[in-house]
Amino acid sequence: MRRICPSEEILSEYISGVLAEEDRTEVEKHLAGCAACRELLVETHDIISRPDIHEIKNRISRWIRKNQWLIGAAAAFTLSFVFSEHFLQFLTACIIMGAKWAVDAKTAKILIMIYEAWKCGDRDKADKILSRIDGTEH
Amino acid sequence: MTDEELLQKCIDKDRAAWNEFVRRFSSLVTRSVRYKLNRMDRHLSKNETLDIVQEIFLLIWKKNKLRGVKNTACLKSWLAIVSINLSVNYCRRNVFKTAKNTLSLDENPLAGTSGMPLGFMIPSSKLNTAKTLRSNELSGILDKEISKLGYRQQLVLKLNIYHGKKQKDIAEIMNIPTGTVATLIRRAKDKLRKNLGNALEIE
Repeated sequence: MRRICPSEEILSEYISGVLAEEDRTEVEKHLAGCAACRELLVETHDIISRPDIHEIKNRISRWIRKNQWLIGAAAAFTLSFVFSEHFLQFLTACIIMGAKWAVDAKTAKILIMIYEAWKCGDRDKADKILSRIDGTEH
Repeated sequence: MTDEELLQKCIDKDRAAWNEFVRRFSSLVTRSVRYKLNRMDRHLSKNETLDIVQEIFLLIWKKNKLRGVKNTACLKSWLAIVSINLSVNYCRRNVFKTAKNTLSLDENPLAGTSGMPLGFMIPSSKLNTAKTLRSNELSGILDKEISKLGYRQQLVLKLNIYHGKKQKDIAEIMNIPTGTVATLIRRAKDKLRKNLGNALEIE
């Protein structure tokens, strides 16, 4: 007699450890004799337990895009020592890229907003921004 | 938005929540599809893989399959299982499409000539060799002896021997301590050794 395989929901509950004890016993009895379900379970475990390489790649590329000016500045700074005859040129490039990074950074943008609000005399608005920063930082 | 809130909104057919769901889990579904295709030795193009991923999400949305997920703790594993199953279905469906471009073993590869069928031209190292018969016989005996064990010992041993899983992985799959897995494997192997004598040596 062929036993019916457990549903996708039951199998996922089993592997996540949220299935009730008596149901676990039934599932394990089935798994002991069903190669297809065992294979499915093993594959699911492989997928969810391994780090997502594509996600890591995406995160790295996002970080690089976000900090491209900082990376450029660091590279120019290093190169200024490697090619000492072009020290000044590389150092200038480093300063420019560093400044660009500082201006582009989120914190710098907020500081500019606070400064402008303060300059206009809108102290309430400046305080609001400051309290928002405090809220996010703590 | 937490996974639980997202899940509930998707079940209630909230479009914005569904877009967020797709964004949050498309990487997992894509990974599952790629993994299964590799295991099946099917190397599809990037677009075809994307088609399967879209088909999976479309099916989940249309059939409101998320209703079956009762606990968000198992959402990821559920998505992986659904993706694996639907990838297999996709490949089965498309086998007939690709079959038109393949050649049967009973056909003559040089059409129009009176040559021999393709099957006769492929040398086989497996068929009718004494080694294969002996191996089949031994694996039959092993299967029979394993089936005499308790269901937990059977499961652990099969995961270990047939699926090549380490004790740590088996413990994660079954949600039991690694020590318990080690004990189950040891006892199962002891029983098998006793039953099989020295005929089989199990690692």
